Amino acid sequence: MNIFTKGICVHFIGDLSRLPGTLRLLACQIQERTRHNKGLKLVVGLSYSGRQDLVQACKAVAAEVQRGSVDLDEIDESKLESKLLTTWDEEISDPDLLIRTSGEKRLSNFMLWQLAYTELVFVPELWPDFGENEYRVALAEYQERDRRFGRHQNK
Amino acid sequence: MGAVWAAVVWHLLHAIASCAAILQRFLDGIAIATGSVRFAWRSVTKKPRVVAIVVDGESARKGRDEIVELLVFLAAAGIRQVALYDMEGILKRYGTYLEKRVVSSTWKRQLKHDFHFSNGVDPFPRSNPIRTKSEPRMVVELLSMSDGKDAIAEAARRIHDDLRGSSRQDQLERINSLTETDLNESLKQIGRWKPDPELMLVFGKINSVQGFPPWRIKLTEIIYMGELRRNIDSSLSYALQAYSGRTHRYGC
Repeated sequence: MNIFTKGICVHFIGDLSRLPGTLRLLACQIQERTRHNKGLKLVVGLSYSGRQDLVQACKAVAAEVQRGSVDLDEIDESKLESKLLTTWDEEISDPDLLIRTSGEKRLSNFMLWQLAYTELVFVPELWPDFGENEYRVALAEYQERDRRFGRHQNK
Repeated sequence: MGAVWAAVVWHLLHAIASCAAILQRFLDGIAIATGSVRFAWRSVTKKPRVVAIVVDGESARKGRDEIVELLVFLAAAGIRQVALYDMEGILKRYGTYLEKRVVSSTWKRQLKHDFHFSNGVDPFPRSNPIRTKSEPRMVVELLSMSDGKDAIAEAARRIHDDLRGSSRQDQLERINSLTETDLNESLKQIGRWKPDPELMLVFGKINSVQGFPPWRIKLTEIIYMGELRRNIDSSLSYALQAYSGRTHRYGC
């Protein structure tokens, strides 16, 4: 499968400045070449930290306040969220489902803000062994659950 | 023929090991039910210092007795800090009630503990003010959605508030050099910083952290416990033992 022939739009999030130059250049090239693709939007976290994502959002908002384009009182949850690395495209929303492979049952500093209400499915298979069948099982488990975001169910 | 015998022996050994595991669980369950939880924990070398409990709205509304039972179990197991969370803040409204019931239950079971309940920032009025140095202490924070993303936004406002009075250049330098430590400090200043839980137990119909303070769950082990119900000591014991038995690599 080729991301170009499948029309996949690839976007990298994270601190790419920490990567070797050749890898950084490759990531930028892929991102640029797939920028106008209209198919699946694939967001790749590379050198990504959920906490650092929040810190850079705070920086971005603080810079706007300093410039005078935003009032201090306007700093709220939605303002911070608008500055997260995952909001590069308005069509990208918080994940409905997180599948974590290898049997680990942690978020490991991945998208801490964005996963607040995400359904979590932890699978024992290692990533190279996670195939279509394992994906179907995870999806079936997600579909069986009653997602009410913690609220009382309306009848 | 040899392969057949090998298969028979393998299945027999598997059956014996399964029976031994079931018997062990049964004995642990008796130890817990008779109040001798410390016995079950004697061989456990790694316990979480801070445990987060996430319950959905329905469990928070209807499961107060179950939550009391849960807290008493954790106290008996030697857990020193619990972060009890429900998105809507229902448990915060019942904080004083929960504290009284937990204290009463632990005294009935002759577990001498001192409890300190707070709503994430302020402590509740103490119903058990007497504390001796020999009594182990458990801190219970009652948290809700306002302690999560809202708290981070408040910390962000605080950061900029602290920059007032500085020159424009200094402000710019401070903003550009902002780090996780600065956000931690800001959360402390507004009373919203607490230690990260090593373990989170999620109760309800969905396996989701449901808005639990996102800053605090970077490396937290998350175990989905299903629906909150009575007599869950065995399940809790298994969860704590599962945590204890895991190798925590933290990205290595």
